Amino acid sequence: MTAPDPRVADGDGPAAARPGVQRDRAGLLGGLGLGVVMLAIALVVALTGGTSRAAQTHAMVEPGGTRTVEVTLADMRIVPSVIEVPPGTRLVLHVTNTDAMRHDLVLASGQSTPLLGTGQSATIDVGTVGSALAGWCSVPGHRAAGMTMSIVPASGTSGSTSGASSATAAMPGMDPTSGGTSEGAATGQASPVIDFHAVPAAGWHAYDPTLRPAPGATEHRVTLTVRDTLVEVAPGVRQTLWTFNGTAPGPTLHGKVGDLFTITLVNDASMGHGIDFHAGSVSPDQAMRTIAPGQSLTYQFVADHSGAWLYHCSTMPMSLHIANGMFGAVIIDPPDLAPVADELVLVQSELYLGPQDGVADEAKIDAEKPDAVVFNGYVNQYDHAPIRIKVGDRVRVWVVDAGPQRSAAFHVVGTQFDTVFKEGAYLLRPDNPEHGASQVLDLAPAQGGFVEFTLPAAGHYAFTDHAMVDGERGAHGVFEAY
Amino acid sequence: MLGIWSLVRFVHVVGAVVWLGGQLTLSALVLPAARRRLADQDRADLMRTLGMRFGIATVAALIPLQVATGLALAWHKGVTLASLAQPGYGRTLAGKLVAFVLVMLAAGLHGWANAAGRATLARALAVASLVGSFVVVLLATALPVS
Repeated sequence: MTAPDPRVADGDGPAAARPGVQRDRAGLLGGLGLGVVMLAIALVVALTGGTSRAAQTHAMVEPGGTRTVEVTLADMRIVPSVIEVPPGTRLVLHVTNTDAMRHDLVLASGQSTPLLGTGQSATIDVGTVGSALAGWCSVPGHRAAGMTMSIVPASGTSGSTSGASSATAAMPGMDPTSGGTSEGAATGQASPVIDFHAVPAAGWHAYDPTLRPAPGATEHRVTLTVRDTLVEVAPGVRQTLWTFNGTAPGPTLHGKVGDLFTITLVNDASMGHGIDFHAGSVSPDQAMRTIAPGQSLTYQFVADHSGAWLYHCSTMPMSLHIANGMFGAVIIDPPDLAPVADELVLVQSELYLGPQDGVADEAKIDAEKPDAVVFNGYVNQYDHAPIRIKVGDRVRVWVVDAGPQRSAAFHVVGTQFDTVFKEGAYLLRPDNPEHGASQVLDLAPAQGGFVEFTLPAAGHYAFTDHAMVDGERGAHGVFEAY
Repeated sequence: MLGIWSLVRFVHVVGAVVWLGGQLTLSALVLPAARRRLADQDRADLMRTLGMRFGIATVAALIPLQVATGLALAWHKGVTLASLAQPGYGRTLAGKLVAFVLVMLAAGLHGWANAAGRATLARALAVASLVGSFVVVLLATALPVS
């Protein structure tokens, strides 16, 4: 493209240009070649090393005396993931956390580092290694996410190469000492069994399902404090939930379209947490970051759209954080929403019980086998504390499915919904020309909406998840019409 | 939000824009036009003067600025020498640094080749420097979001 035009009078003449053009071509091609070489070199540097996250990193310890191995905790990995130790060699681990999140290293022998912040180190004197020894990070969810390692005796005689035996002894994710599949229940204790017919003890109070009217102001300032909270989730069954302001679900926020919400998230719990509000559009990078215990962040959003929105912890693995209580609802009224006599909020979620007073069981979550499905956090809550409704009064029930995994099919026995609002739109209004009505509000995990109905005569109107298995394991309550 | 670190990043990006834009302007706009409009000697003089000035500006201002802001940004991001070896952010940054060094090497050799009268080699090195600069920018955009 730089070839001169021979017709340009004051340019290089065609005769004079020919060798110049050839030199130019050579220069251009040579330069492009050099540039491609640069690209190749840069890409090799950028893309080599650690070919995949799952790849094992192997450390072979030299025989004799005391040997120290540097161990790094970062990126949901422990490096090296396999350490081979010759017989008689005393192993010392110098463990450093280079991650933004806190981690620790716990060995099956019971030795462990304290919880390490960014850049902190600790030392474990493992001693001599006679049999395979597993190690992992004990922060909930991190072991399942791949933060495992193993220390194995060096195989065979010194002459042999690191053989297949050591490789099989250290399959990724395997736990050579227990070989167990129930990694989630690290304590090894059995979880309590829910008695679906038991009655709560005297002094028990139901979670108030009433939706408080939206305050007149258009700006809402809320502080949500995350704490490890011992909570009863069924009669006699307690779990240490991670809660927003002490309850699961956390407080319901209520506002109108256009309102500004300024939330201060305070982490008073023992591990990192974050928050994600579906009710607003924000860049996740900063607002939804995980903050360490003792830290706080400000999360601001404008509720541009009406709906029944979920909020939940944004820290991985979210399945565990949501299952262990970190969810709640934000209700944004559609414009001109008529007042009703009774306005309620039911948040449906699942319970995957860990040991009594423990945290949720990750193995059950992975297997999608909940012990119970609940409205507002307690098994058959509103069977024990029926919600009283006056006959003929219009009732509006907002439902949000917090999951983490199961859908909801909200149904009220003995009545029909004349109004259904789901995911930002009315599916049904009382004056619809088809004279239609609805029997179930179906919600995928994280979806929300409301239904409206009246109760025609005095009686007990059960409400349930009409996925019957879930309805019979805790997602059940009663409207008592009087 | 416009904080001090967006200002540092701004200076770093502007530096890259000036470097790449300057090269593109010289190679793709000035050189072809000079070929058509100027006599051999005038063209050679003009290109030599422009090249010298661009080279001096690069050595005196651009490289110190890019190195200083780059180091500051890396420090702010918590980059360590060890982390450069780790896959992902570290390796991408390391590749970018290697490309940057190669580009500066090519640009420097381009000046030497010109002075030594080796026109073909000089042209090859100029083109290589331009292509390499694109590689630097490519890897910069490939850095995971900080």
